[in-house]
Amino acid sequence: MATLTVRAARPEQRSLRRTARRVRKFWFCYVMMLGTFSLLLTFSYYPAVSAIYHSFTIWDGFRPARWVGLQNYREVFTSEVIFRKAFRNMGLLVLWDVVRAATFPLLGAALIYRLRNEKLAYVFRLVFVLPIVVPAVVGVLVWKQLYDPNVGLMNEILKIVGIKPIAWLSSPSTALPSLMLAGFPWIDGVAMLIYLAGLLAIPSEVIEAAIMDGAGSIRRFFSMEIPLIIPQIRLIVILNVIGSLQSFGWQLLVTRGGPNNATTVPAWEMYQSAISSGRFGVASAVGVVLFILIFTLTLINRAAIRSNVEYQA
Amino acid sequence: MAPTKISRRDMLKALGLASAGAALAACGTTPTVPTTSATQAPVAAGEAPAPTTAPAAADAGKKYKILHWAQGPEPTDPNAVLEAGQTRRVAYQLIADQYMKEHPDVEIEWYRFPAGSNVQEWLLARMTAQDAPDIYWANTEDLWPHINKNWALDFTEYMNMPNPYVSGNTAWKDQFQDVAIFSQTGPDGKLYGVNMDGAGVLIVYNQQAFTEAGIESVPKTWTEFIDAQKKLQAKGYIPFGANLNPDTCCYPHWAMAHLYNQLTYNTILTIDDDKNQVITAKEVAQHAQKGDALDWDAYLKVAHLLKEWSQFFPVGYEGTTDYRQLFRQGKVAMYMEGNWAISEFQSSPTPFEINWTAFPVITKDIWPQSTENVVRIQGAWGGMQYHVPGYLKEKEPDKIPIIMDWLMFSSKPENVTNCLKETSMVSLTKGAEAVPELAPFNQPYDRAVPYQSWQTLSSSGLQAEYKLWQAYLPSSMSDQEFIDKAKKDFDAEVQKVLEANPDWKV
Repeated sequence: MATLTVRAARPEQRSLRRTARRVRKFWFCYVMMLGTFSLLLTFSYYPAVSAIYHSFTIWDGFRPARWVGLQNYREVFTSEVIFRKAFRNMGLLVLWDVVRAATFPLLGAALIYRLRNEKLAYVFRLVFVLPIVVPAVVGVLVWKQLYDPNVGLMNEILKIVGIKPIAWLSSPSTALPSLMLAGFPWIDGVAMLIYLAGLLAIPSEVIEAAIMDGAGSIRRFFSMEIPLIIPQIRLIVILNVIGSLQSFGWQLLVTRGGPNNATTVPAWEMYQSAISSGRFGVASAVGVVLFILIFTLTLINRAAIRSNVEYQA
Repeated sequence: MAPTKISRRDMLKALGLASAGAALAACGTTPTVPTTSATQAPVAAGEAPAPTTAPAAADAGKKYKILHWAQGPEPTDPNAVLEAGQTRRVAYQLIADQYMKEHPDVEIEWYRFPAGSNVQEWLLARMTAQDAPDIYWANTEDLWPHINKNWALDFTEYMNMPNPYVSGNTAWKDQFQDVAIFSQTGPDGKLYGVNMDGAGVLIVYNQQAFTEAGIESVPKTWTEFIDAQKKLQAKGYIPFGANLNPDTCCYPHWAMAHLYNQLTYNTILTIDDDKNQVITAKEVAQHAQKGDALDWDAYLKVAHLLKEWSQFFPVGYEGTTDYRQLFRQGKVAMYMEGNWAISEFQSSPTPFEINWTAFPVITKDIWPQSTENVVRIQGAWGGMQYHVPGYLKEKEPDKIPIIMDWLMFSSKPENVTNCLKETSMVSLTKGAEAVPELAPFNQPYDRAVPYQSWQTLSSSGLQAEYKLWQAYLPSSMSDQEFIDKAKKDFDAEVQKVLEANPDWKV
């Protein structure tokens, strides 16, 4: 894979006049970017700054906000539902999502990578990637039907093999595991493609040399292939962490955070505080806490997931 | 002179300039169209009401478009393809057509509520954006905590005006039963909507299942009710359809309403400060501050009764179970349902005979303080309770008299009767008749429930109470743990309501 190198600008004294001259020369570039920047400011940065401000207020979205300092943050960190249950559930789901994203698509990619028949490899690649076209909402609703405790396919299968029906999403003890089970066999098409691209980029000479040295398939996988695709793994992990921290699709469409807060997550509590209760201050506080968490985890991810060998073509 | 060719670079510059200009223009404010002031002078309360007519358009030829979310009697979309056996609803469209014929300057358009959406979430979004329909449906429990935010227009002056479409009427509000007026009376004593029909709740049961289980007479008391469910369970039926999902109407708070109001029959109205036979959010919030909003002994008894009952519920009742579908499949023997289902059962009959019965009575052997009275959920939660966004007073004040005139026309008894034929709702409009199939809902009862669970406080309160039952019913929580949690959760919900309505603080 080619490494793109950006040449640093030559160090020189920049005067205001020189800058203005440069802007005048490339004025149409700045004008073309103006639209994008204004949209970014309006829909990304302004809401974020507004949320930070309103996290210190009581605000219902209609009447003037009332400054209350850290009251909302106190509520977030002392609430049994928001802090203990929601963050705990989020931690479990994020952990599972990371393990799931880092292993199963990689396994699928490694198996396809080892196929000698190119046509067969293409077919399998297509089979795993095709489900991407199905909207995520559809997938959630299909699994909701599968999990129906009275008429769902899962319990029908259990009945056939003589096992007592499970309440799945309807029981506090099985609801969260049911969310984790959904999506089986957990081979995300996009992640698999990214891993496969990384594996295919490994030069064949390196692999051949390892084979000649007597390295078996499994040894090659753990000692060579994984270290060489660490950038891809890091990317998938961080994307999944960010996605998991923010997502509440299952809660919105199916569980509503229940039963009995068994599936609630901070993003859902943020949505509920804002939309059901009209407490935008508390919702903003949850949002700010999530932002800090995501930012921190991103930094940790960059520092922690490294390889001694990051191959550059 | 030969035409000058434009270079690619120059063309890109021009395109960039044009797109940036378009983006800036789109972000600019739209000049507001000046609205004409209403030609109809408002009548102050207490004064002799002046006759009202649809005001002449301020500008000749000005058309008013009223966007109306009709909810219950909403006419079927003409483009909708119906299933076999389904009937098309047309009554309200015919009424609108007649109105538009008499008022060519007015156009009525139906707002189609997004399927699957949550009403509370929809309300918040629409009110924030100030793009709600000109007339919208909402249960008033969803509105009262938000009246201070101008979500609903004050109807009082119009309610005191005569309805020109009803002969002999001197005040519009005289057309409606008392419960309809009480239901629309806000925490400040003003009227915030019109309520033309209402709802009743009974238990619908599978006659065939009862016969097979050897249940000869319909259970009247709680003990008989439990016995009947045991028999049904022994025959392989799921005796009672229920779930604790806040998005499914409406098992937990209906059950709570019947049980709690029976157990506190003699004391519940002590918190009805305005003596209108309806407990309001403000009354609950204010009495909660005094510590006497709920009878916690009775609440614990309700919990015990629900727990005893829950053994007869479907698997997965703690979450989402479609017990209505299971009933139609003949798996569930009975469940609580509203009168609006009558039209659904007519258009899509079950393969077995159904019948309706009242909620069983709690007798003295179950609760010594019981008065053994029959209570019923029968009141104003109908499909024709309409409100107008409060912001219209500033945004489009000249439209308000037109909207009110249309509502007055809609509330003509014959018009309400025609709508009720399609919706099977209970009539709260004097002179309007309900369908004969509503006869079970005309069975006598002692009192319509004045209090319907924590939903009376707020929709957030409803969700909190549902979570409480989700925690308690399938668990081995002790009585003390349950009461402690219930009090804590209830207080938290009261605080939320007080945060939104500081003037309710005692």
